[in-house]
Parts: sequence; C-alpha cells; structure tokens
Amino acid sequence: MKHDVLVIGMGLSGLMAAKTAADHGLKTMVLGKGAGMLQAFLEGIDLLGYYPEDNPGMLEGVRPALENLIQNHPEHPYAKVGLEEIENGLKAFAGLFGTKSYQYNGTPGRNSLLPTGIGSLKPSYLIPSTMNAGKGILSEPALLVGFQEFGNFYAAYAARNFQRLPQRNEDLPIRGESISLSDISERKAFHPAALALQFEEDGFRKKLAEKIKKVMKGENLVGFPAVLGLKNPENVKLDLEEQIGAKVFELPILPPSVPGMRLFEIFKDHLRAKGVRMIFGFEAGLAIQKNGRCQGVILKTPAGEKVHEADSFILATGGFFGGGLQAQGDRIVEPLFKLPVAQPGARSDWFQYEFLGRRGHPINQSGIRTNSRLNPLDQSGKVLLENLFLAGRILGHHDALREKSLGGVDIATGYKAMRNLIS
Amino acid sequence: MKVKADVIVIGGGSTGTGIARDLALRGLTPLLMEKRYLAAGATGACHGLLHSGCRYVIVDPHSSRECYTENRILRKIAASCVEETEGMFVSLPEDGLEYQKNFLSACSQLGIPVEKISPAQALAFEPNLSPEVIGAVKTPDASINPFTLAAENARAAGERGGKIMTYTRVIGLIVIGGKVKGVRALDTRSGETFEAYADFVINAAGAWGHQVVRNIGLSIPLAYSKGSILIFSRRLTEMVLSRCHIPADGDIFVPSETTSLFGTTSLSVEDLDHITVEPQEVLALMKDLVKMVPSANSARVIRAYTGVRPLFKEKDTQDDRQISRGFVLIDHEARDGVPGLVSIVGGKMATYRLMAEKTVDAVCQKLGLAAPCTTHLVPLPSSGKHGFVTLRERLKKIGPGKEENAQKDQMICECEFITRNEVEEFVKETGAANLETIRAQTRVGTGPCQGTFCAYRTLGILAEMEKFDDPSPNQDLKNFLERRWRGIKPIVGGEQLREEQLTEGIYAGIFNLDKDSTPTQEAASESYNKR
Repeated sequence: MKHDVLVIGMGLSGLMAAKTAADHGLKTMVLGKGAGMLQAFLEGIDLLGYYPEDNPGMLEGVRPALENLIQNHPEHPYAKVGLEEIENGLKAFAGLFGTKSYQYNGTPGRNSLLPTGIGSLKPSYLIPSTMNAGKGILSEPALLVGFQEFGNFYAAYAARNFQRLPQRNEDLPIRGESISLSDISERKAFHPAALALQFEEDGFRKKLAEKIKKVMKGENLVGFPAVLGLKNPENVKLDLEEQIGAKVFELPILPPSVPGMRLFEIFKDHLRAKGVRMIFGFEAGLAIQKNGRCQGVILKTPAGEKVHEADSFILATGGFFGGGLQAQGDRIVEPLFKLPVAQPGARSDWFQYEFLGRRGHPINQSGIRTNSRLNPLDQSGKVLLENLFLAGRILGHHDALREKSLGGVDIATGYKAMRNLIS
Repeated sequence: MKVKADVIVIGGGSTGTGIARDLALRGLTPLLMEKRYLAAGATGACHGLLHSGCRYVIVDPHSSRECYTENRILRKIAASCVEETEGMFVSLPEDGLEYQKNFLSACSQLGIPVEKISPAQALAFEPNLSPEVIGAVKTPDASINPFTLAAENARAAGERGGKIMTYTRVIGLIVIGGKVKGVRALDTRSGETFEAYADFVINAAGAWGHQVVRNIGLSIPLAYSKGSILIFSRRLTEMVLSRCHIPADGDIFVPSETTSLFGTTSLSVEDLDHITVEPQEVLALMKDLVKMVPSANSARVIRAYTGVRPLFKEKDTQDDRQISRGFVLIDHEARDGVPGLVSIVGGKMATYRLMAEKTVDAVCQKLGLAAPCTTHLVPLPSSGKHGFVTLRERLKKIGPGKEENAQKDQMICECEFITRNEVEEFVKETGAANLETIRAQTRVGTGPCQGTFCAYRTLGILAEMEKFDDPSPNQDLKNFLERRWRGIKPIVGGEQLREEQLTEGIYAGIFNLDKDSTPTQEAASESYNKR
C-alpha cells in the first residue's frame, strides 16, 4: 500500500509533521525506532531562551531576538521556517490539545521561568499546565516533595539550590521533604512512568495527601517531581491541590520525561484517530533513491525486511541522540539516505575544553544543509531529493541545548516541512 | 587556628599516606595535608598494576627485586586492595622469542616465580588474546586499587591518632631559626588559612614537590612525563597482560574492578595542573592494544586519563642519598643546610611502602628515635578483616531481598551497582561530603555513563543527610561534570557520543546548568579551543 507521505522518525518533529499531514487529509504513515529526545529531555517547549547562545542573559521577550537570529543566521532552522510560520506551527501544536484540561501554556511573545529539579531556573516558552504554579517559588514559601523509593528527584537538593538563587529572597522559606511510599505502595522502587501511573489511583493519592499534610508547615505551594499521572495529569494535580489545600506544581527531573510520554500519547491518539499508521520500535534500514527522488524506505523487523513506499518523505530521525546522525571516526554521517553532513572541521574541533562552558560544542551544529523548502542539498547547493523534506535536530546549524530551543525547532520545522511538502 | 603534630606529611598519594601510616605505627602522630582528595594525583592516575617486577628484569634488576618483594608483602598486608589476577607476558610475532629467553633466565636469577606456557594454553586462559601469540609466560602480577590503598593507609594512620586533612593546600613552609618548623596551609573549601607546627616535615607531594619547597628558596629539579591510560567499560581479560619485550608505550593491559585499563604513553609536559589526553594518544594506544587484544577494537572506551610521573633530574643526584634507582630521598639538611625537612621523590606505587619505610627510618634517625618499621607485618584496617571484594561478592551482599528498607536498597549508580546504603555508610564513616571523594572511594560515577545519573543522586543523598563541603551543591555538580569531561573528551565518538548527548541533554537541556553563573574550579583560565 502506497502512502501520500511517509514520516521517518517519531520524535517531536516527526510527530508534528505527521499531525500536519493528517490534518490536511494526507494518507500518512510514521516509522519510528523510538521517541528520541521527546521522552528524554522534553519538559516545556523551549523556543529561544538565549541569544546569542553564549549570552548568559535570559531572554524575556522572544520576538526581537528571533527576528535578529533569522536575519543573522540564514542556515538556522528558524530562518528556513520564518517568523510567521514558527507562530503558525506553535498554534497548530496548541490545537493538538483541543478541549483537554492538560495544555501547554505561555504568554505570547514572552518566556516563562521554569523551576527545575536541581533547583535552577530555565526559560521556556510553552509549559505544561501542571508546571504553571512553579513560578510561585520566587515569591511564596514552598515545600518540595520527593519520595524515598524514587531516585530521579531529591527535594532537599533542589530546595538547597533554590534557596541560593539570586532571583529569590534568601529568607523566603523553601524546603524539601522525602516521603516514604512503603506503607502506601507495594513497590520498592519506581520508574518515573510507574510512579506516574500510581498517581492516577485515587486511593494512593488520598493516603499520600494525608502524609504530605503532616509534614506541611503552612506552605501554600507544593512542588512534586513531574510524575503526576500519565493520562489525566491535570485531574491528578487538581485533586492533590484540593486534598492538601495548597497549589501544586511539577518540576522537570532526570529522564525519562513523563511530560514527554504524555505528549507522545496525545500525538498518538490524535494520529490514530485520523487514520495514520504508526509502526514503532523498528529501525528504517535503507532508503531507495532513483532519479532524484526517494521511492521507498526499507524497514527491518523480525518478520523480515519490507519496503514502504510513498509519494513524499519526511526525514526526522534526530541528531546524535536519536541516531539521525552518527560519528564514525572523524566523519559525521547520515546513515539512512547517506546525505552529506555539514560538520565542524577536524575531530579536535568538535568539542570545547569545558563541558558546560559558555559556548556550546561545535559538533552540535552539524547537520544536513537544506534549501528554504527544507530539501537536502549536495555540496554544490543542488537539491538531492526533491520529494524528501527534513525536520528537527537533523537540520543542525543550531544548538538547541544551549540556546534553549528544544521543542521549538522541532515543532516549527516539523510543521513547516509538511507545509512545504503540501504546497 | 594553630595545629600541632609530631610530623607533618605533605601529599595524600600512596607515598604520603604510606608515610603517615608508618609514622603512626612507630608511635608518632602524623598530620597529613592533601590539596584535593586522597590519591588525586599520580597515585589515582596510575595503571592499577601491582608489579611483579618482571617488567624490569632486564632493564633494571634492582627495581625488579624491590617490586617483587613488595608485591608479596602487599598481597598480605593490603589484601582488600589487591585482586590476585596474576599476569601473563605474551610474545607477538613482531617481538620474537629472543627477549623471552633472556626474560626467563633473568626471572630465575632474581627468584621471581614464573611459568612458561604454550600459546594454546595462553589462549585457553585468555580467549581475547591475539591468536597470533607465539609465546607466553605466567607471572605474579596483580591488579591493585590505588584509591582504596591510599584511603586504607590514611585510615590506619587515623586509627592511631594521626590526622588527615584533605582539600588542604600547603602554601608555604614555616622556617624558624633556620629550621623548618611547620607549614602554612589553606583550607580550599572555606578559603581560610592556618598554621601547623611539627618536629619534622616530610614533603611527599610527588610532582608538586618543588612547589612545596620553593617558597623557602629550595629547589627540587623535576622533569614531568605524562602517561595516559584508556578505560574500557568491561573486563576484556582476567589476567594482567604485558608484552614480552623491552618496556615501551602501550603494552600493559590491566583488569580493574569492572573495567580494563590500557596504557601507557610517555610524553614530557610543562604545566602540571592542566594536562589532558590528546586524541592522537588515544589512537596510538588503540593501535598497540588491538595487536595484543584484537577484540578491544569493538569494545567501548569510557574515558581516558593521564597522570604525571615526576622524574628527578639525574645531574643533581650526586649531592643526594640515592637509596634506589626507583626513588630518591632528599635530606634538605645535608643538601641545603635546612634541617627539619626531607622530600621523597619518584618511585612506583608498587614500592610505596618501601619508600615510606626508608623515609621514616631517616626521619626517626634525625629525631633520635629507635622505633623499627612494622608496616610489612601489620595489615591495613580492612585487609585485617577481609580480602579483595569482587563484584560477584558485592552483588550477593547487596542483591534483592537482603535489605529490609527499600530506600537503602535503592540503586544510585546503575552502571557500577552502588546502592544508597553504600553511599550513606561511606559518608557516615569518612565524613566525605563532596562528589570527588565519594567517586574515588566508591566507584559512583566511574561506569559507562560517567556520573550522568548518579552524580545528581549522590548529591541528593548528601542534601538529605545535610552534608555539603561546597556551599552551592550545583557548583559541586558542575565541577564534577567538568572533571569527568576531561577524561571523556579525548575518546568521545560513536556510542559514547550518545552518552555525551544524554548528559548534555540533561544538564544543559533540562536543568540549564550551562547558564549557571558561578564559575567552575576548572574554568576559564583556559585558552583552549580558541577559534
């Protein structure tokens, strides 16, 4: 069966492209080895937190910096998408949530400060509604709650660092409590997803709320690790708020990311409802290319290899983490289409002396060069495959981790790649 | 603040801690000062090889004999630090068998028990060995954990009234009436300086020995040579493998706990405090290694590290009492007319105990004490109770169902199987309250992920125990990640690049630690990577 469009990659950029295609009525198929960074690092949607990336001053207003960036860095994915389409992409993303109580919110044009599980602040553009109340830690006494059976968040540690934040009054109380779940759950240790599922049980929440109330000292703001339910996090949050009598918020913690899992599920439900076929868990083997067009992709499954054909293709396989790019010796390669990769010179130039220094590692800029329609280009600037469009981290020419554009670039390029494909 | 002791020892490597223990066993009260944590310098950066002496049988029979004697002593007194893997010297076609012939007769002359075995037998012992091997000799080499060795020596000193001060940098010697009477020191965590007084000062600062004495106009001429080593994520062999040829670069492979270590290189360096492994060293080492262990090509290198060997410049040695070709004891009274101070320079970890013995012998003589050395007879504190604890034995101890309390069972470091309980016990026992020390002694953060998850968790535990050296715990976290990066940067690529991306994704992507404004210890003085 031939599809109109085949999306390779099931991270945020691939899912966004698939959603855009399905909403447009295209017969769509998505292949994915995994969800990439979506389920590892994605908490809020970062659009642009710092510009230039080594300027330590956090951006409050995003638009002027985005305009500058687009003007000064024509190879940056945002420049290929353009300001208007970035905003359209974000709107389309917001549309994913429909009338759900769980939403991604933000102030148009402005970053929000997202408190994190190590007691730091990060600028983010759209944040899950369950994280909304977190900004209160700068002005209200707060209690952070961790769990003895859960090793991905330590409340006392986060509290200690929050206390030292320059943006926060040192005398404003903030503390961490580690609560034992041993008398309300049979489990001895929790994976984030398992703990999130536990939070959806009424009985568990009720008993937990009792224990939390006992350690509260009049705080009206209580922070939890971001594990407050998988399916109905907003309900979990509201119920906890009612039971303990305080505002509740979630903090991003060590991976895997439960908010990322929620987002994946929301995309999946949306795509399935639109009849999109999704094959998850297998790696695309090789792309069949002929006469400047891609004809199909070979998928390797235990049942054997199968060719999946389509009129057009989206390549959204990610960067080094997702496997869309690989380092082999001193060369960086794109394994599926063997597209030429723009990379920083020699191996010795790939990394900075400091790991988390001011400037990001040049290797993170590596990626596939494209035209403004996001088609891949060869060394001479000629389009390699006219029916292949690229989205997400594989585009390179930006450092999402340092400029804090993780999520934003994926949504914008996933959306735009499909819009280009359609037009 | 003023502190007093019988003898001040400068340097917390194997030599310094060995001296502290020796002093304590002879009834003196040592005060040891180490600028970072125990075994942070050349000791911790060594190969973890307890030499049998075989390596030097041809080139330096004197050192060889010392090594073998000490090897036998350490297997007894430091049993908890020594894994008795035994060793094998293998001949590859390019080595020929001529060296092996001389090697065997030299070993027999020195009384080192070795056994020639056939290539087939060698491959039966070590299936990962190159099938091209043409000859092999079994030797009494072993694997030794330098971090626990230093810690156990320090603990032995502490149990007898000695005081061990880590993160304490000696910033100058105090000379009164022409005699060294003590030191001025800086607590690097609090920033406070203080003075300490003693009857004698021993400089065991290794490569940093010259820096210790230069403020009183003395000099210890040292040349520095760095040796780099690769760490593989798992054990590729069960025995220590060496090439049966004239000692050279890249010819020793040591199984160490859950990992394997391969080295070394030998390059002269100038700047002691900013040495890194160069990617070309990694390539050169890999090229040598695959000759001996071909499957290493597909094994995973998790980091590379480098240490500095301080080499005493020979032209000055005629003025000094050269007690061994391996190490030199400088008597500053005889040499410079400054009584109250000796410096011990050079040597190998395998002979640290002997070096300590000779040093303390000299000091006792100066102090007019007739206390004999007993360090070769008395076991180290843990070694008196148990032998080397292998991973298998540890897993039996910490395995599921053994702990009643789920919290204590919690796996902090999934790579190295370290539980919360082990970290807590270590912190309670030693008072350690920073990641660096905990890593060195417990292996937290030493596995394939290099601390990505366990660094945060360990700090989380410290927070719950309300223990921190650093006023800002995120600062300790950042410093830790930067120090880990030193060893990751030279080798990162392929699969290990995904590991790097995971770490960066967490700490820059989720936690925004890259924009944390406080500078790191390792920070910006570096002019590296100017682009």
